[in-house]
Amino acid sequence: MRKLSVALLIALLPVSAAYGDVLINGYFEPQFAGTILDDEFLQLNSNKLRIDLSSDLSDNITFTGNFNYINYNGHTHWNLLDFVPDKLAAFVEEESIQAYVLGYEDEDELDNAYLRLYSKVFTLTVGRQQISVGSGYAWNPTDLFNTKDILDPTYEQPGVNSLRLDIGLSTDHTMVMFYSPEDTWDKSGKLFRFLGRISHFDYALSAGQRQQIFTDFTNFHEQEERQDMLGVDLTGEILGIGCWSENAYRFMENSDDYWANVIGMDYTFSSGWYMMAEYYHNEQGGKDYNQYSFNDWMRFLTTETKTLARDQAYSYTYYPVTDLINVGGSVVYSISDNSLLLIPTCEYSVGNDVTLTFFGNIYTGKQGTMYSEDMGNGGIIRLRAYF
Amino acid sequence: MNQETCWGVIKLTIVTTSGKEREFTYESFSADKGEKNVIKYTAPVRVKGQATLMLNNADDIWAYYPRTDRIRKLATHAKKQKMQGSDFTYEDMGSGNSFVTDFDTERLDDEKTEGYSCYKIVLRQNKEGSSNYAKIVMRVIKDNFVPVVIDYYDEDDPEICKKRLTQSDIKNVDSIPTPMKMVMHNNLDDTDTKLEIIKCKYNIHIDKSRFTQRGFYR
Repeated sequence: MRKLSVALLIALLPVSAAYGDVLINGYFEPQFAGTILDDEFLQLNSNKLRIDLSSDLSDNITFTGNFNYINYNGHTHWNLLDFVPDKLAAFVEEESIQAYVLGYEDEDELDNAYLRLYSKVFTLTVGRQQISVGSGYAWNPTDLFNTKDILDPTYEQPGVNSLRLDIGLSTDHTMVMFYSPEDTWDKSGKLFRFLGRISHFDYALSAGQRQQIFTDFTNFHEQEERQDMLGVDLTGEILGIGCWSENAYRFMENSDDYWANVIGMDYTFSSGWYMMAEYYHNEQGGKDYNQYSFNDWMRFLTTETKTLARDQAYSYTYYPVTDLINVGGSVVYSISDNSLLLIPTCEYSVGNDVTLTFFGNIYTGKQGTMYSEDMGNGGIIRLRAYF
Repeated sequence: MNQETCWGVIKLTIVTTSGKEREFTYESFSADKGEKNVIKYTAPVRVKGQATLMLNNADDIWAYYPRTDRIRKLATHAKKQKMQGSDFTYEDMGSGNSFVTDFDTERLDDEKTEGYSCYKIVLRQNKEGSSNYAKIVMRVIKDNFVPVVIDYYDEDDPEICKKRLTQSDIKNVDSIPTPMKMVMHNNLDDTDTKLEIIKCKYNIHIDKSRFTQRGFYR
């Protein structure tokens, strides 16, 4: 894959230069992350180069592609058992520990590459593309394809091989279908969404199906399970306050069916101060931290599942201190286990195409909770220069 | 008054209190006399492809972020938000002819402003209005009805003039007098945002799908 993507890029560069109609943009993003874990300050640095290609092949067909090149250095191998409560990980024998080490390997891959065909009635997108659905900010119960990072929920999601068809039924109604092919039709991901508007409220009805892999991390046996999903989103405002709700019911092939719901609200004051809050309920999560099993932890840490706790609250705020500086932060509270994560943020516009961002992460919960101090406190400094 | 449809390429320059400048270029589409608006950024690269759809005089706003392929519906309070940190809010850009319906008008004594003989008109928000300004004072050139200076007053304290828009370099585009340059001065922050029309066409055909969420992908 690595050789293929590099070869593709090398092949495309002279083509773009020759024809002048392939636009090459992107960004370079050096990032420094530091974490205090067991009284030791660990550093993981990365340099990411993202190259975006785009071309108007005709009046109604476009090509878009993105390559990612990421180089990691510093503390690149993390033992996931360090983040799991000691009593749950006690059974792991010394010789098996290596199996729980997560390594950050250098990456060079084709993240997205798709063709988009427009017409007055429909838009067809074919290829590897990002799929972003749902009205939630930090969590999206109707999203079958992605799990957001709570430290940075608005970061790019990896591309998904899929076919997307948007059909405009009227100015207020759209039908969207995704098909993400796998080995067989049954295993392939499917998502159907009907989007509409009533007065100032947007709504979306969703139905989907996807095969999900659950790993038993005690023996690394993987089990596939089909899940069907029905969902509904609503976004609008009440008394001038923005509000939204995203709800999904998952029908599981083997395990228990469950509900996942998000409700949220936001407001901007005259001064430009913005604040939002979200509540997340997921019946897959535990009601109390004593219910979290070893597999629950590992599935959460490897993003096989979206949460450990059943109920969480998220709030985010920012204030434009000057035209070039935004300060703010997020607070994530796990209601089920009474643990708290603070994420102060500051973004500075260094230049027209250069931003400097700082994120802190301060975990305050007791051992065994979702946002336990054992997760390690620290921060990220990220510089991003677009070209 | 806004025309039936309008398309333009606009350069927006933010001048901060420290004198630093940030430049943006966007393509603007409007229809139904400004009741429907789309703004799509073309530069700098950081925001390229980002777009905002405003319907019902910016009472309904959607923002599109191409890097995450996410569309977010914004509530009406977002009308107060600064566009890309500029001194223009979404309401300033997308409210179309709402000043006709959302405000009661009173003519004051005529004035000479920026060298033009002008009508001076004060607009006070009525009960049906959803503007974030309590009052707007316009100086309108008698010869061509172009507002040359517009003062925007605070929603909570109608005595505080928050911002002043000055329009200049008036040219005839498709026989319609059009100010090619605008400066919004923020009296509270002492910052300026300049708008310059690079290209502009009036009353052309713009496909209806442009003013839908699907239009973000165009």
